[in-house]
Amino acid sequence: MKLNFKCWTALSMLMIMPVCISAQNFADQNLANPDNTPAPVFPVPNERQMSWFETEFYGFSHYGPNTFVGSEWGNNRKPNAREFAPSSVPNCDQWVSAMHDAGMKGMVVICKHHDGFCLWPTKSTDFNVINSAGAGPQTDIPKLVSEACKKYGMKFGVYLSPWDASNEHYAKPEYITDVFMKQITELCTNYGELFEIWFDGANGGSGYYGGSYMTNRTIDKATYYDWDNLLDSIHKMQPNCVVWGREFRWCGNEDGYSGKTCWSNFDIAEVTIEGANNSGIEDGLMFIPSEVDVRTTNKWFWTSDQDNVVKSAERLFQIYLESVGRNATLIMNCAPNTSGVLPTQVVTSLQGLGQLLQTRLTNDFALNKTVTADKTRTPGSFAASNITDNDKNTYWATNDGQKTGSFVIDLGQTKTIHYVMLQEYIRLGQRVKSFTIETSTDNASWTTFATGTTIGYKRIMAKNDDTTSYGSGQSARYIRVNITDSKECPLIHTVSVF
Amino acid sequence: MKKYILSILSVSMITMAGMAQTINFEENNHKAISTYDYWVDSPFRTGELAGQVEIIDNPSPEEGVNETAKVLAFNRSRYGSHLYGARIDLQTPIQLSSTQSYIHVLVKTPKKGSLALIGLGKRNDWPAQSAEVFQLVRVSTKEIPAGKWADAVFKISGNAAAQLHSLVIVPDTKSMLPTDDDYIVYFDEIIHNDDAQPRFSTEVYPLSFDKEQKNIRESERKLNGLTFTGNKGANLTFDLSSYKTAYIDKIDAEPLEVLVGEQITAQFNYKGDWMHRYVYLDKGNDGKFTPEISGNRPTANSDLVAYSFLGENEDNGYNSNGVSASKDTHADPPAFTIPADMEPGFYRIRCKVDWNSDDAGGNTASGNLIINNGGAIVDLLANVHMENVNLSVTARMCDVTAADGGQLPAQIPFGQAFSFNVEMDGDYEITGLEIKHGYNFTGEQYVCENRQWQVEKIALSEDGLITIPAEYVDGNVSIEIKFTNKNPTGLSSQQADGLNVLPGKGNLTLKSNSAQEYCIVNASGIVMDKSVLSGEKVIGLPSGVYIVNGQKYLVR
Repeated sequence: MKLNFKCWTALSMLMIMPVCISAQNFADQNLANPDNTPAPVFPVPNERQMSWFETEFYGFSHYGPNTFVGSEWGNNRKPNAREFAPSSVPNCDQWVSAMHDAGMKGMVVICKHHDGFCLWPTKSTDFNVINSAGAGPQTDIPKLVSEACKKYGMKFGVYLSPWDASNEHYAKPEYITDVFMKQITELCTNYGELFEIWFDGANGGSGYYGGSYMTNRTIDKATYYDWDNLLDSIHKMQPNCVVWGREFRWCGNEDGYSGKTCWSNFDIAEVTIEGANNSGIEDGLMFIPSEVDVRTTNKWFWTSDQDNVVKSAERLFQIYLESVGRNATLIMNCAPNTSGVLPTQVVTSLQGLGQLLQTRLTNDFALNKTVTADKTRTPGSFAASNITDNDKNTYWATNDGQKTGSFVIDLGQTKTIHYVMLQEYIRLGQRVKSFTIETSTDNASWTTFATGTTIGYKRIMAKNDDTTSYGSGQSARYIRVNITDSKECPLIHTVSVF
Repeated sequence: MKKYILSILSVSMITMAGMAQTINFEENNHKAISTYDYWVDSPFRTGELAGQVEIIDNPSPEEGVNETAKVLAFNRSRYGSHLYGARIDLQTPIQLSSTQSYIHVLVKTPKKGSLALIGLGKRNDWPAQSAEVFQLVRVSTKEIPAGKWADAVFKISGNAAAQLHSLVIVPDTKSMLPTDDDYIVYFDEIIHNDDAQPRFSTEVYPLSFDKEQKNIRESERKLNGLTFTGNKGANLTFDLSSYKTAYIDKIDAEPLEVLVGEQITAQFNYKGDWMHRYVYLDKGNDGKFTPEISGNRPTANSDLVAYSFLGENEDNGYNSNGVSASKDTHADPPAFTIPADMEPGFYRIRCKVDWNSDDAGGNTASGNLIINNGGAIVDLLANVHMENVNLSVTARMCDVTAADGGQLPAQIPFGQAFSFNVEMDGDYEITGLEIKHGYNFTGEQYVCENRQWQVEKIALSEDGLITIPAEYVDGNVSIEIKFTNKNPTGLSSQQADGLNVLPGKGNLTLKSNSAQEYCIVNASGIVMDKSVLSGEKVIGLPSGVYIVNGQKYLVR
């Protein structure tokens, strides 16, 4: 049947017109995808968050009046700047040096804790170092730490407690505009580039609030600080700085571990609810990854009795595995003492940790080794060899709709392995929901090494996911990773074997 | 809906002076419309694409719900993120407060699910701040059904110094995965007030309990399966043994295919005593099951079509054949018949285990709550069809004929593969088919959340004899031939780098200039071939649809 085009068109119109689902027909839009790049699985990180994730491990220093009076919060004392009485200017170089030796890549320094004392010469309040005792007036903590960070090639960040138990304006609107925002502005403009600004979940309660006796003030955590407008202001001053509660989240505990299942996806409302911090929310709307905070001792601020309860290097290494190794970053508190230095015991543990990280997690047996996969995305540059090429911008992928896949790394010879580290290409969203790792000496007979759920930015798997000891390892020449479930085609940029 | 909204507004103005404002797109009561994507690398931000949003005539006025003349149409592009939506700039900013208030938006979307509201604005005490600052994102308080106007409600709050200058309505918060299709969503009648309740109820096929409710008597009472058989070939079984909830949604599972006039028997695999069995069919596709019993039997109009026991009291009951039944019967319901004059389409079926109740949502009597009695409810779809279905073909720049070269038939057999010939005109080459199949092509894709039709896109590289598989002939079929101009150089546009797939008659030809991995999967998910190819390879395959590295191809 040869149809006349005009007739056929008219006939087609009769048949097609009624099937229009709406009166509105927008023009088709198409984007070329010459590289066959997988479509994102939302939410996805921004550049700040990627840079922050790559920082991985950084220090924290709780230091201030609490150091000198042996307390943790300081909200129960009438404000007295002269409690801060260092005998000499604190040796921030020593702090940062010790953290650098531990393998940290940055540091976040306490600039104001809940007591409201500002460790820099702020114009927002008189309760600051200018009015302190001893060498306090010559002390500008963010200045000292930022200079030390620059010296050691470390990133620099600040902690500023939103709760201010000494400020008369706290819980009133003017605290946000006339105090808190001024403090943020000073810290964001006077000390160079920041990679992170840490606020805090502890909010409101008893304090002196400019008075002569303690009172109780509470605020609505969700609305009082106006985080989204503060975030906008911070980014205008510090475009590379991630902001607590919006661009990263607290992990939900202070014991140094992330959930074995840990999604970077999260919801803003959960930031104040704090019910799902440890594992994240698989279908969360926002990309708000987890930061694990932990102390090297049992307290955030130094007290003399803490010198004897410093965590061992092995314990700190375990914490590293259970935080950086579980799709989170790690911020490790190292509290300086009244002499303005980190105690020797802390420095020793940090050095030990640095050595363990060096010896256990740097000699990658898989680097540049051969990888074969059962399926690979085509066309495009998604070969399995991308997994061991030491390039974070290349990755192995499967085709759209293929949510499983396996690849085998040939180490070239049998090695004793302790850890397998996996990294997703999370720029296009966190995807993997479950995986297994197997080992073999002959590429024929396989033994399960570990099974896991999420991967994310980084997942470090010990044998049977047991992080409690280094163990004797497992002999293997071949490492097989099976992605057994994924939201969409899995994208793996690196697997390292140690 | 106008009158209703005005009455809402009058209440709101009393209770929250200064809060209420209406954006109805009838008048110029908004500042501007555009689109917004939260994703910073979105092509709608980088300028690669222009967002598509427009005020249009209301394409589907609905009496008593939304009768207004104009609505806002938004093309939810597949290139946007899960937080891509229609942006409405406000003439009067919305003042935020730590006290909750609510934004209501009338929505009509082809996809059921939760919507999101993004607020853009600024602090009113920071004059230099841009009004483009992200202020909040909120998910709608309830899921919105597909295919009908509904009131999406968003709970908002914020710092008292902040104001919303723009609202972004995001149609689907679950669209986090890549999608193939764009779709159009309509918005209308946006109001801000202190009322948390939707302006009207939109729930279809209501239950008397929460959908997530666990079966609290699983150890002794549990529905483990359902089997349907018909006297004209209907046959479907569901294994339900793994479900822990009292309600089981099988709407997206394989439908029960039944011929008009077919007699159907439902068998309940239920563990436990003292419970009765009920089958409903929403014959009017109106979103509810209306029982109508007369003389102890269902009437011809009744949506309750079969039951094992129903009585004014539990000591005097009958089954749906009007036969007296014992309250402790373990029997399945008698067979029921699909009306011979029923319009072909997809219809909701509900099977229920309950105690002496015609309430499709489950017994709500205080002493006999369906949940307390260990009852269960299962929803599924029935594909009510005729022996033959209608065929239409849209073909430009080509001739289309039947497989034997004759005229295309107006109807083809239901559930059978269909072959036809396409011969492209000289300057054009075929690129694929777009096949719409199902029912209600002139209407919404979903009727009361029951999908009526869907669209398949298949790539082709050669014209000739084409066969579409039987699973696409599950209702009426509308085929559109997709084509492109031939490349004047004579080189196929597919001869680029990478794997080129040329579906042919009984084979697929794979070509690649460099080593490329490929995997061919048939429609059942079975891997037919996988390897690495450099050069050319012809792979013989039975006719059907195959997926090669994620793309569908048709082997004739």
